[in-house]
Amino acid sequence: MRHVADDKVTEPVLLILLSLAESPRHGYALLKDIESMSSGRVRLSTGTLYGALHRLLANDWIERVEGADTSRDKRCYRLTAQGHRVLVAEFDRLKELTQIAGTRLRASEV
Amino acid sequence: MKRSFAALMKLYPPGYRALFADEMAAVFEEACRDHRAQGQLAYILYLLAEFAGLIKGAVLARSLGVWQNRAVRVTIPFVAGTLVSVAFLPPLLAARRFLTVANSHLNSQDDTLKLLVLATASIIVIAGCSVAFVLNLRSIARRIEHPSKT
Repeated sequence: MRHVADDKVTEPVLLILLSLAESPRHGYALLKDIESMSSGRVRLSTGTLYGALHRLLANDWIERVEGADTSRDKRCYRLTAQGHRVLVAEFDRLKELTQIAGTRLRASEV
Repeated sequence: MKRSFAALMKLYPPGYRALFADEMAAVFEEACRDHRAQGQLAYILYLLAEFAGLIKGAVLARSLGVWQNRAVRVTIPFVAGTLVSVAFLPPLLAARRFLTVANSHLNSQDDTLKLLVLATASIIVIAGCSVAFVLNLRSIARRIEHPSKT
């Protein structure tokens, strides 16, 4: 699946990585967790979720694992070491951006 | 609803379906159960968003599949290059007419040599422009495939 690799970290991708950083999850659990993390703002459709999972699998940022329920329609996904590195890098980038935003907003208030 | 979902799943490429169809159907069923419990309106809105998302996902999966086809990637720059070459045909034909007329007025070997140098330089410029255009197309293609690497 390497041929669909695309290393853009879009919002759905970031939320999926964040959700999997806590524990491995299957599709529906991911949807519910993303909805709760974003306070209901982000509601991914099944098509969007699996499109993103497809790209993440191709990038080797996540992997499929056998969960407690091993049926074919309940496969779990887990963050890989590479996926973890990407998430940390994205977190650092956002932290830096937040600091800049804070500084500029404070400056504009004065 | 299950049947509509299965019908929309047929829009996806076979490889994608083999990998995710069962899981996607299971997620859809679970989500349907949840939204039905929230009322008729929530359920209808969910179905509309879900089906729109499925169609969008299928278009993206298909377009990615088409672009990954090596034949398509080679053909697009080739066809574009040919079209550009066709655009250069009228000036080339005009230059040929000019050369024919000029030839009848040539007085010396020196004039003929000047015309030959001019024609060769024009051909080199045109060929250079065509090659630059095709190379640029290839770089656009790479950017489409790996947006963040460029």
